Amino acid sequence: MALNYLPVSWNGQKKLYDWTIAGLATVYLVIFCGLQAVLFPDVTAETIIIRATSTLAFLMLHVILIIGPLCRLSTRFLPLLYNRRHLGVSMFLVASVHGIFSVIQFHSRGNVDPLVSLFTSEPGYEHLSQFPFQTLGFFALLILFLMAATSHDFWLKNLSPRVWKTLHMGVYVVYGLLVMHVLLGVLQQETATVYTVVLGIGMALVIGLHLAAAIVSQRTDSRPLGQAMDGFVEVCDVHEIAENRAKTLMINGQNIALFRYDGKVSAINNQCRHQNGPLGEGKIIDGCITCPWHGYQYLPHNGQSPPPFTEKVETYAVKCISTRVWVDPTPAPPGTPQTPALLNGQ
Amino acid sequence: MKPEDDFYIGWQSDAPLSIRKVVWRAVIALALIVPILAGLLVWQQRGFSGAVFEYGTLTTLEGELIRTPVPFLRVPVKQTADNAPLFERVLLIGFNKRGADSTLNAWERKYGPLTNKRLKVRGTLIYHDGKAALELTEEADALIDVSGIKPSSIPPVSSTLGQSSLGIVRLTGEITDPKCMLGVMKPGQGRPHRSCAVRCIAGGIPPLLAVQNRSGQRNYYLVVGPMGEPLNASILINVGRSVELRGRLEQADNWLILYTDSVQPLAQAPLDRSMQVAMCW
Repeated sequence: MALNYLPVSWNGQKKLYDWTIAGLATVYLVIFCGLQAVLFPDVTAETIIIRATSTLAFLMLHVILIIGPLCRLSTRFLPLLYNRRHLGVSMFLVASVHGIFSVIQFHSRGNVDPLVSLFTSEPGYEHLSQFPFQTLGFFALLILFLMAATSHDFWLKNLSPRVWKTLHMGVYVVYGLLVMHVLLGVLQQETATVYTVVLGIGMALVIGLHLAAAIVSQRTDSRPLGQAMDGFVEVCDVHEIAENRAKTLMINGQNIALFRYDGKVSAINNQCRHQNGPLGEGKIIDGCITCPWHGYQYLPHNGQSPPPFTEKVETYAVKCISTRVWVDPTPAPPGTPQTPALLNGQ
Repeated sequence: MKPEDDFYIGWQSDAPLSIRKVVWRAVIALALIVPILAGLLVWQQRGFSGAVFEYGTLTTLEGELIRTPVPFLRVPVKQTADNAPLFERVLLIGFNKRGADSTLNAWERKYGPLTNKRLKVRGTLIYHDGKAALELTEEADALIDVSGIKPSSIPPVSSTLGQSSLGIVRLTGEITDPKCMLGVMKPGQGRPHRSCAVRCIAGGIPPLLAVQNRSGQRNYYLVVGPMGEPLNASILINVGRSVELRGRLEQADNWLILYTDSVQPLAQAPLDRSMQVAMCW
């Protein structure tokens, strides 16, 4: 959390994260380019650059995509998520080198503009095998550019988290475009089985982890609810909620995080205003609900970030009858104070 | 999901030990995957031809200019036992993705007709499998000596000399451009290269049919129309695809020229067939 926009709000963990990205990317490029030069001395420098950067960017995209579901399956992977935007921007830069070199190599210095060439040199849009796969890569790079350009919190704030998140879900469109770009492009020439196997493993990992995370989340969110009374719905026993932790609920389409702390229970919207992070997987630290993704904080009784911060989330009325917790799923406007339910007998 | 006891906050100076352990294991796994993957992806490549593009090195050649059906410089390479000269033809190609015609036309505007005249030309050599091309890298300045127009020790020869008919043939292969195929790009054919070959042929570089036999040996055929006219515009749709060409084959010194009257794409690609089968299900 920060009051002013900085290019990068550096801290120790971000630096370590970025050094790790740079180190692993460098190792990949050195090994790829070095082996190319040794095993295939006839190859040209342009081909080395195009192939090294394309495969590295695609590998980075796989890592980016599996971080999300990994964190849903275990919060111990959260440090990988914390600075994922830097990984995304790095991936875009590597992919840009591939894209720019490819356009120069294949489309420039001809009888038409390179971008015109990109879209017209292969007119076989109606045949799968002849589909101009380079256009798929172009649109993937365009989406990545939009994502990288708006990756800063300035854009997150000004576009609104909902719009920003929707835009950045474009990474899945990018993945689909790039899988087809690879299948219809280089895999039509490099036909060794290992390439298909590696791509298959990557896709299975991405799809499998997302399905696993979705199943786990579904099980967590769709517990059967109890009876309803005066707009309140009986949701659980208080002992089902760990101290300073939450239970997440999906009632009437409302994504609710029910926190237990200091002998009280409060309910707020489960989605962090920063990046829609799952507040219900967070923890109350120093009296504030702390988002597990980037550490944004909210007071449990009113859903407001502690001053001087200004983020707010919707709140919900809660009451306890004996040890049973009841929630009114009608959301109050963001930042509306609610009287916490006191736990009987505590 | 049951939350772990340790809780991670990115803006704190350090992560809890249990979380650090998991993350370091993930990083170590990546550190193992990265070099293995890099090595595997390189190692399994199909490989690249030994074609050569002498980028940055200019070579001067002297020979007779032949403009049809494609521009050549006919260069004497050695003499036979009975002192008859032997020739090799070097295909002339323009700078960038362009044919040589615009440069040759510029020369002729300056010096008059040059066909069958002896010229000294400087450019960048491209060669592979006994075939060579010369990129006129310096364009108008690539013609460095027109004094060779005067009669020399080697008598001028007509463009048909050194050409012999090999009959009607039917050939199957891939159409690409000779500039990339002979060494400017690696690979100079195949799917990823297709759009580049389209650009080169659209720019006036004569199309080349690359035919590969079962043992992997290749032969190359310059492709022109039945009367020797350029086919560049009409053949673009078939560039980079497997095609069958029929026509009259002629040998011109060390080059083969196919005067084709039929360009047929081969049967539907397996990818399209499997897609249609999948959609019928």
